[in-house]
Amino acid sequence: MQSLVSAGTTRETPGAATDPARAARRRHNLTGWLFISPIVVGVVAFQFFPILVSMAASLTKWDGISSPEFVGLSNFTDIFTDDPLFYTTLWNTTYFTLASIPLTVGIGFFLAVLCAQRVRGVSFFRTAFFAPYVTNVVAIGFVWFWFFHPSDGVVNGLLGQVGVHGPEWLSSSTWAMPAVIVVSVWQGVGYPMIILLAGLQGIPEMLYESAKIDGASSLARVRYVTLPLLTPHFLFLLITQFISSFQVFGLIYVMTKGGPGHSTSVYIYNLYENAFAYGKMGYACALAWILFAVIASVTYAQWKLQNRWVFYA
Amino acid sequence: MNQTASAVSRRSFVAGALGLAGGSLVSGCGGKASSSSDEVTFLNWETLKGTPLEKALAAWEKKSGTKVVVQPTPTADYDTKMRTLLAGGQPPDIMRINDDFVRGFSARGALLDLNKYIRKDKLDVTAYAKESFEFPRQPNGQHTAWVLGYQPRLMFYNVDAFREAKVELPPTTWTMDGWKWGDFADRAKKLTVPGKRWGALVYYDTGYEQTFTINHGSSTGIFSDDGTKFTLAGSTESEALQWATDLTCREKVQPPWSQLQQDGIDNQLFAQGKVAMYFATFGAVPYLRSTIKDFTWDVAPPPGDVQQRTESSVIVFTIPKAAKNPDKAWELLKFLASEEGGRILLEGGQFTPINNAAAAQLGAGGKPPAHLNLFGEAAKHLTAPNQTKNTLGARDLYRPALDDAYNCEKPVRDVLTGVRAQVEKALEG
Repeated sequence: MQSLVSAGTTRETPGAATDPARAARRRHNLTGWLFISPIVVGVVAFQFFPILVSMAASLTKWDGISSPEFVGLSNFTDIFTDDPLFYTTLWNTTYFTLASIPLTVGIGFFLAVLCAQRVRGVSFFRTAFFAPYVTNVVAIGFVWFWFFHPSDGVVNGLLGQVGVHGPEWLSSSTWAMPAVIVVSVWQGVGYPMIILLAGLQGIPEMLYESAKIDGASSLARVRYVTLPLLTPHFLFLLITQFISSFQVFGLIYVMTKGGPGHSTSVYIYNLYENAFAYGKMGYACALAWILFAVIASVTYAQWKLQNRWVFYA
Repeated sequence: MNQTASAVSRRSFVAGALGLAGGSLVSGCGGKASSSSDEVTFLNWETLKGTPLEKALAAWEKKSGTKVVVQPTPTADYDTKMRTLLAGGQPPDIMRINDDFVRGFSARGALLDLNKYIRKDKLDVTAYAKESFEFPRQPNGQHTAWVLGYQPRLMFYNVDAFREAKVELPPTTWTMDGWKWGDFADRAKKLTVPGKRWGALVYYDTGYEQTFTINHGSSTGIFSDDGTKFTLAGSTESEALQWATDLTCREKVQPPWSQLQQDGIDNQLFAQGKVAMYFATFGAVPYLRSTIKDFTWDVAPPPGDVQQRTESSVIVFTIPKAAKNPDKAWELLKFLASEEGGRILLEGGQFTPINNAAAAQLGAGGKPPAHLNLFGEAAKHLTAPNQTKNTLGARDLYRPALDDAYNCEKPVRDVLTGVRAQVEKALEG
């Protein structure tokens, strides 16, 4: 009997090209990798690499111009022990976040309920409420800057109409942050509205009909049907809104430059100033990693706590 | 549907995509901003079109046969771009630089020492305004930047408002006779018409900090000579700032701080006739000339007290150490500071050229202000804040603190002594 080998077939390593299915799969995978390689290269070059550089730079004294000097963890210890602005800006950012998230999500929910009604012209209102969200933050900042002008502004003009003497707003240490929060809520409310509107439209009508048959009032239907079924959307919004609120920068930069007297100086503004005004790149990178730690911790906690209140239908 | 023979195969598409990705990476990371030997790259924070500087650059191009490639960055993020170019090792051959950065960038070794060129060309340094020429000289003797001109601050005033209120006009020469702080405040009161016009605006232009403290008798102004102490928190200096603040809080002759939270609002208020006198730099002249059509305005020296000086901003350019074409860059800077270059720059009516011969030709030429020559004479009455390793960091601490004083909530002395320790820590760099 003629052996297979002497018959001219080549012997190969078991499990290599002799397995046509595996070879095909490998070719298939290689093709996939080739297709996604541009984005992979981009992500590695423009995200992972800068992240690594930032991590390394946080351990150095570096002005971005001369050679970095390794200083270990001293940037971090300086931030916690020797930088009063760190605590001021952390508090201001927390204040901004705690005030703006409930307002943005709450008003967004209210608007979503309104926009879910089947009435003529509702699409106009959906667009109108969402428009500020996609409007340039610089333009918004400038316009509201004028609205809040103490003597010529629209806001104090309207307050004056009802006999209220408006505050100094952006030049008052007390009122500047509330003014920025008002603008932030006005601008940001369209996003939760759209998310919650999508959620509302995904709730089956029969659940409301069942609740009605059981004698549930309108309020009870919202309490026991709408809100529980929207909790996944609320979780998503709380996480994303927290991340964006803690990184607020544009409005502050345009409207107040952190003033008056650091009353609106937020974390990212302080980071930006350290990096680009004072040339403390290493220090700014350390600030960025602390911010990352804060956001990651809070996001993790939010994720873990979802078991207590989020209801997945 | 059958694929046509001309269709792109999957393999070609992938190869193309890879090529594009690679190409974009290479162009993004490796693009050269450097100059060839016959061109000079020039980074500036103002648009040059139609300006005397554009004309001066064109004159030098013609003279030298070297092309100037302007990289305009007329944005608030100029400093960010400048730092990024330096960090990336691809700086322009010449870049404009905020005068506050010169000391810090020099200390970091980012700027070229121009002494070798000054010596090689045997420059007659007496041809330049001394104080401005010496500005870039560092403690180690290096000359790391090049001043093209300076913008002294003067008191701009609405002549018609003075006449209407029957108030004596300010002096037309550098004199304190009848022009001391008390005289200034008296005039401001008489010029104030509630709801219509404020008498004065002093504390908006931050140059008042150095000017008024020095005039009040401070020997150093904002920072000590060695740049390590925050002398603005001293009693004499705080008194000076309190005097300016009291024009609002006590005398009610100056716009409240809350109405001054916009860039350039001082120029606008004056141009609209809502402020009768205001302290501003030479740089305001072109705007006022083009805007004011319905009243006469002029300039006067700032009111004196113990002495009568004024702070001047300097127009500074520098050659980065990593510049690809420093020799040509130097030639261009030298031309811009020459009498010929200075004469061209003078046409802008925006700053006094550093070249004394060019500055001597400073005149109103039939345009307001009638006493434009006072800007030229200011060269003999200048003061400048002492340089520090971190002037910007220090300012970012004490200026926001001053908001409380300007809003009439706290005395100047209290807020400045409150931040003194932090500011002095920042000054360590």
